Amino acid sequence: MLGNKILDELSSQIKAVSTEADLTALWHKYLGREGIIKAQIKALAQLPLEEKRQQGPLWQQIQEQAQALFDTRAAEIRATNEEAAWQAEAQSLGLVPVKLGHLHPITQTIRKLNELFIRLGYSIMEGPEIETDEFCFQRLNVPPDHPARDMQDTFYLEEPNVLLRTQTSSIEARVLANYAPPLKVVCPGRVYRNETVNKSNHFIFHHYQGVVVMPKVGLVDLFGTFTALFQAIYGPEVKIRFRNKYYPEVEPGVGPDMQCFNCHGTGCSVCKGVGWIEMGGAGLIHPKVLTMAGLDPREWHGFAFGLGLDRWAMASYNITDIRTLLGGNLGYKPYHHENIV
Amino acid sequence: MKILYSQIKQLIPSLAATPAEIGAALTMTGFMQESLETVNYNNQADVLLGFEIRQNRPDCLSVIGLAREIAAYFNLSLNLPTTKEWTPAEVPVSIRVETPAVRRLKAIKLQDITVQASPQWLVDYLAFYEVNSVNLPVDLSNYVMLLTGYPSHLIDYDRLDGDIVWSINHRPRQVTTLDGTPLHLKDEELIIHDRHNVIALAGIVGTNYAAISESTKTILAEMALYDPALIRRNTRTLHIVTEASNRLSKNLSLVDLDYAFNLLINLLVDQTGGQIASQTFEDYKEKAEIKTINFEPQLVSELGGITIEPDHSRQLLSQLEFKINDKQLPWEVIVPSWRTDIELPEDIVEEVLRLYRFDQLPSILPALPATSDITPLLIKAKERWRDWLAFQGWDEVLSWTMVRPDDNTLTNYLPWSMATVQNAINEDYPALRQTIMASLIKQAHEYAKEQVPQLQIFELGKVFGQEENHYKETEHLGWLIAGGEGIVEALRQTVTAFLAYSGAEKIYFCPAQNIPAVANPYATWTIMIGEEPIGLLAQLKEHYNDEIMVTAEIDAELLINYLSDHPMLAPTVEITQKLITLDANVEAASRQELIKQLQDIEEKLGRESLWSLAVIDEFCLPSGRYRYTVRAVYKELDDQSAKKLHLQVFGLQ
Repeated sequence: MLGNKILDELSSQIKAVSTEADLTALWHKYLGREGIIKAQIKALAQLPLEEKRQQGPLWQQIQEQAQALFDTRAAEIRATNEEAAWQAEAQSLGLVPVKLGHLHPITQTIRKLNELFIRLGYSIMEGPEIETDEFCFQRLNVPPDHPARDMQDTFYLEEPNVLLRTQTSSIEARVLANYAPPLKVVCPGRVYRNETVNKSNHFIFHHYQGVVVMPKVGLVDLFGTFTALFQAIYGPEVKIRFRNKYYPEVEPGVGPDMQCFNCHGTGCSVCKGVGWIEMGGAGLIHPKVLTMAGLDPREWHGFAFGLGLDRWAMASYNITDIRTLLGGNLGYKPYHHENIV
Repeated sequence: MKILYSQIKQLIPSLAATPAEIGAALTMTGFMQESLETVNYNNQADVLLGFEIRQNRPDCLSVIGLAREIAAYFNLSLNLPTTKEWTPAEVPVSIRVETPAVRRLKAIKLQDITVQASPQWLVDYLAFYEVNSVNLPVDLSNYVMLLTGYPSHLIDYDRLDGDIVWSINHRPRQVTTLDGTPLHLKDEELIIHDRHNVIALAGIVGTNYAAISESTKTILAEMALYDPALIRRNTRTLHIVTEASNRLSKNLSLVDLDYAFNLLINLLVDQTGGQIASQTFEDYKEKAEIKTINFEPQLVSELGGITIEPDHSRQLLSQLEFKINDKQLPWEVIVPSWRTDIELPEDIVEEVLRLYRFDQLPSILPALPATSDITPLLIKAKERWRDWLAFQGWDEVLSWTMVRPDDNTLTNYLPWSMATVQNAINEDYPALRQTIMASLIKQAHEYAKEQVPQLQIFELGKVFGQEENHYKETEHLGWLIAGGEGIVEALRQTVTAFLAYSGAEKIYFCPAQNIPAVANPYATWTIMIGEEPIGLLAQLKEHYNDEIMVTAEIDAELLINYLSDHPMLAPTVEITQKLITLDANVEAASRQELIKQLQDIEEKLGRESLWSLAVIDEFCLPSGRYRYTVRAVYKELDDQSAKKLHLQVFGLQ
């Protein structure tokens, strides 16, 4: 029958249509006022009554089937278009590059140490960088003209009393003066010494001081704490030794050394042939220091340690020139882009 | 300090330890080995060991001192060079000591001296210590110094004019040292002089006047100990450090000077053919006393942290030549004369423990009792701030705190003057920075050289100044960012968000009154929290690779103080009724006046009913005043109550 043939043609043509506009045009071609199916329905009027009664319902059915084909295809096209729209909108939102910030290597090194000591129940303290002779030296058992002053070349704002601190031990002196024991404190900070600036030395660098004051505390406690500190940074296999060394603010004084990471103790240029690298200073707090802080050394004992941070930071971040740390010419990547998906 | 292995063996004949073992032993007991060198001495292969000497052990700035330490460590006896007694002549020497800075002085005249060159062994020996050979008497003087640690001074007696005097110089003088260096004496120098000439800067260096030469026949040999602090000051003032001053600026034993002096005179008599020609002059006003310390032996275990038996402590102390009266507790410990560093029981503990060896002590992480957390709020806040800033894409920098004075002049916006260092290492950088901005601009210059894109840096650090003759330092946080149009607003939003994140409220930006010279005066604002100015936001005149640079800086300590005084109230609110929004107009002469008015309004409204209060519009009136539209949002009130309160508080009834 003609009607089925028209439906077959429509069915194949409608599949090829992909836009709503083309579908509308096709609808007009078949179902519009002048369309193919409408023309057939109009032509029924010319037929005899009996035949008209027979053909009429058939063409009505064909018209309905054709409309159903259009409705189905229209829904399909709408769905496709919506998806494309979402896709386009998602693309327009864009997964743009996000700039990540970075903390300075010195800050990150301090954090590593702070994390350990906070876990051990220590408080963190800071102190003034402009210091007095009293807190930088005298309260640490270094009176004027003491030979130990040779060890530190001091910047003075007003010689001899106002200076830039040469060590974070000055924070120790202030903590002892201002807080009642028992105490467990670590003190990171910037220090100044009048040294020529080159690849390995700077007149501004960073120290990390630790202070413990308890009724009973001894060298073994200091050694245990120091070993934990080194293991936290260098791993459990690190080898540490403790030897006697002189610092006026402690008695006994301790020089902690770490086995050379380069030669593992056999001697090389890094460790100057001795197999060990000096890693700071430590000891039991000198009774005179406790007394000057108003503490009775028969009642209170304590230990203190100090470390330089810059070399650790340089080793950790592959920085070869110490000037880089404060110079803006950063050896670590100062900026970085990453796509966050 | 260096020491020859052959000389150690001479002093400790029973020593079996190798040079390496000696080096390791002294390193562990307080004298870090610095060098170990194979040398040729007296036609024999030898080893020269070098050690770092503790500042409080001047006795070990000598061969005998180090040998004593080695003997103690290996528990062996020490054989010191012997000296012979001599018969002094009856003639006195004319010496006057006019200053208490001379703690002990011994001197004697020798005549018929033959001044000749030193034998090769002595020349070679001194060369190990980088001491140039001069002639035999002078070289013997230096040899005794290296052996005993006591410097001495030889004077050509025949060239002197009048008495030899030790006194403090109080007038300008010019002298020339033995090595030809001119020195300008000003004041407070300890000198040795005769009627007209300075013979020596006592304890430091001789002058070329009355120096020993080939023509010298009669010498005055003197050995003295002075006030170490004065020698130290003199060396610093005159910028001259010598082997003698290095030793005499420390606390050498007064007692042991006798042995060193006798050894010197013995050698001079034996080696130069000299004859004793005077009495021994001696000035020794305050004689040193034998030091005895009461010592509880259990203190070793207390401070060491492990049990060390008293017998063991006694043994180690006796190896170090301490004498002990242990009939009762506490022990009486008699300190060897050369150990001027031993003053307290804790010093004795160190002696025991260092010979016991620290590496024999266990290393156990202690379970110390808990203590109160005294970490200041600022330190905790700084850690959070850093994380927040890094998360927002900011890179942290640390900078020099010393800057050019101009850097401060151009960037300072605070009412304080500059603090400067008297002895700056670089004359161009004597000033301590007054702003973080000064440092960040310098950092930007470095970044610009490297063409770093997206400059976005911050620094948390100290700034310094002077207020009414007091030095002041405070912690600041500074930002610097470069970008195109809208970058000023971007930084304003960052600062606002940062302050809000920190817990601040009522954050405003007002046109600044104190504008640093580097800033665009039309784009500089004071950052306010309430009525408190807390920092500065400024567009810089300078550009960064054609991009606009903007900086902001806040006083972190002020912020923390503010937050401590104004804790955030009701951070969580349960809303049970709809929020009601009502607007009102307020007139004010400036933003500062508006802020004050808003604070009054806020107080009247009360926290219970107010959700938020914000300025949503600003209009400049023909009178020059401003009209602000303020939007108040009410909570927990019905429509009528909210309206009534609004009209009442804003004066609209």
